[in-house]
Amino acid sequence: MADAPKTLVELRQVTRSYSGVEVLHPVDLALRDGEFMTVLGPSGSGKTTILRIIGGLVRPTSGAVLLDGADIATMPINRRPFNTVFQDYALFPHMTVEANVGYGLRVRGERRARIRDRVAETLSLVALEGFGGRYPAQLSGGQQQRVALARAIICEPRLILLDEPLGALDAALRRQMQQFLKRLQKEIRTTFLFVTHDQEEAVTMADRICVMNHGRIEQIGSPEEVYYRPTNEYVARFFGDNNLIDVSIGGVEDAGRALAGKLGAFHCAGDSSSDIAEGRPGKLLVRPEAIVIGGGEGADNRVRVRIEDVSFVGPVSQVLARPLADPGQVLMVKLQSRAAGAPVAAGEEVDLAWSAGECHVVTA
Amino acid sequence: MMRLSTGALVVLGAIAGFVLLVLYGPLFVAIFFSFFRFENNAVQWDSFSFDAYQSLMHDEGIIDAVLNTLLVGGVSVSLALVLGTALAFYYNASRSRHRDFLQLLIFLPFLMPPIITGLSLLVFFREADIPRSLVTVIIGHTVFVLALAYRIVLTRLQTIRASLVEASLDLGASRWQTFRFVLAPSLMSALGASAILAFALSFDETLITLLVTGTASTLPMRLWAMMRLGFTPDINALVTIILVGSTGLALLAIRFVGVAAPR
Repeated sequence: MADAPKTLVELRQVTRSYSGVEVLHPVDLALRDGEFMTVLGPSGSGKTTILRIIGGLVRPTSGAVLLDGADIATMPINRRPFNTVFQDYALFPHMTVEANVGYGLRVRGERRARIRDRVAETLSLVALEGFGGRYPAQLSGGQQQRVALARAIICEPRLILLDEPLGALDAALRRQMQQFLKRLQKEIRTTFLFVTHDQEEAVTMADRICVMNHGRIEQIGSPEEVYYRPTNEYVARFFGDNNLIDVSIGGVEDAGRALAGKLGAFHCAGDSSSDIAEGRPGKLLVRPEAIVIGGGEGADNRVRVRIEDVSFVGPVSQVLARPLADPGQVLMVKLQSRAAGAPVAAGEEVDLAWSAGECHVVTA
Repeated sequence: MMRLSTGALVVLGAIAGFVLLVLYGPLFVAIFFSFFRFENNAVQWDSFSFDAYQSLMHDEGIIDAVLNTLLVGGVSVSLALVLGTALAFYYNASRSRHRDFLQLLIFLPFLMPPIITGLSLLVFFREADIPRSLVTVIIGHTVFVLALAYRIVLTRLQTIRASLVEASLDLGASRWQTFRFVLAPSLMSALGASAILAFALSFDETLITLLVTGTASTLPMRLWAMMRLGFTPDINALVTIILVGSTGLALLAIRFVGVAAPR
């Protein structure tokens, strides 16, 4: 195994209150050197507060912020080796692109010639050669975005903080910028902390995702982890259309865990389930694309359902089904669309099946 | 657009014309008689000359008054700009509940009748044993035009996004560098506009000046004094000069404010 990646920035039990109201509950977060982490959450979840605390724009009410293991709580914003790309870009309107990008070097007292060379280099890195003489108002949103990026990377910070930087761009440009950012991050080998409320964006870009809600971190993990093995119901619901089935958690068995619920007995091989106490209520999670319709006899889990609706949504077809044992619930199945049409039709009674390895359990 | 009948348009046009005549007629009379003489109940059309202006040029009292006016305007405007900017920054950054009270205090001398402002200054200078001179006039004018400078700078300051300051600090700039490179350039047009407007106010301020001055006299006061000795063509010439001066400043200020308006 390779060496464990070094921790660059660490938050330890960091909180933030505004006039007595705690908007950030004690938070622990370790940012690894060189990684691309996205902080994902709805507005008001505290994700921007975390970014501003690390950047030095907001002081934590309590807790420690560590850089390379040393506390930087009192280090002023202009001494921190981090740079921010602001949500509104915050380009200086009275300065040219060149002056904007070179600003960080200028205030450090670099020589003019050196600034000019570095600005030219950085502008070519963000594909804006020849735009140096323009003013921000003369640029498109995407170009302004790249100027803000160039301005942030020119001082070679240890960490780049991005506060929903793609929020103002249209969908096509957004996807293009996502790929561009990812490539740039690999190229300059700098740690990125990227705040967004868009789960697709978070999954596409991140090495690791930090999911936030109501001022708490719900889960930190790779995109696959938060997608397939959410640690709680919130994360499971946040990442799309998981099927959640009420169960009570049973004993440990060879394959993993035994579960029982209104819909019958289930078996789950999820690895994180072993530390859950027996008898607790929980939710069984099955992704709609993991379910097989009319599953084979040997399947680990099976539910008898009546098909309610089959709809074609392009590459996938979506099937809604109600279990016979509890018609109040709806399970969703996603199938790859085929020219011949879906193998089932509304009104049919079939078995839905999935293997123990394709599901996951969280406590309620 | 609202449509009006021809009759209504004629009536409204006539009213507008009458108002303009009443507003500007006397001014044109004054300008007219600064070039022509009026004798034997008739305008002497062949009397066109710049005599009145020339005699002003040679009147040492007038020259003194002009210099005093420029001095008072220049110093009090400079003071008001510095103080107004500082107060605007304070108001913008402060979270104190008293900041609105402070703002009211800044506005009061501007909003109160000048005679009240002038009298209270006069009483203060007397009680504090400060001899009345151009210095007291400068203090009076500074107090008076401060509100204007403060308001214009504050309005501009409030349109500057907080993220610009944050970005500057984030990029490693010190507070002073941030002021110098980011805030000051954005404030220049507002400072220019308030300087001109404040100067225009100071230029023809009479009542406060009259109350707090010693022996020195400014241009409007000189005019006041001349009128007591009877109307001469010189007075018309002086009125014309003051008129042209303040109108010119006002136009310049409008241009500046237009530029200073947030984009």
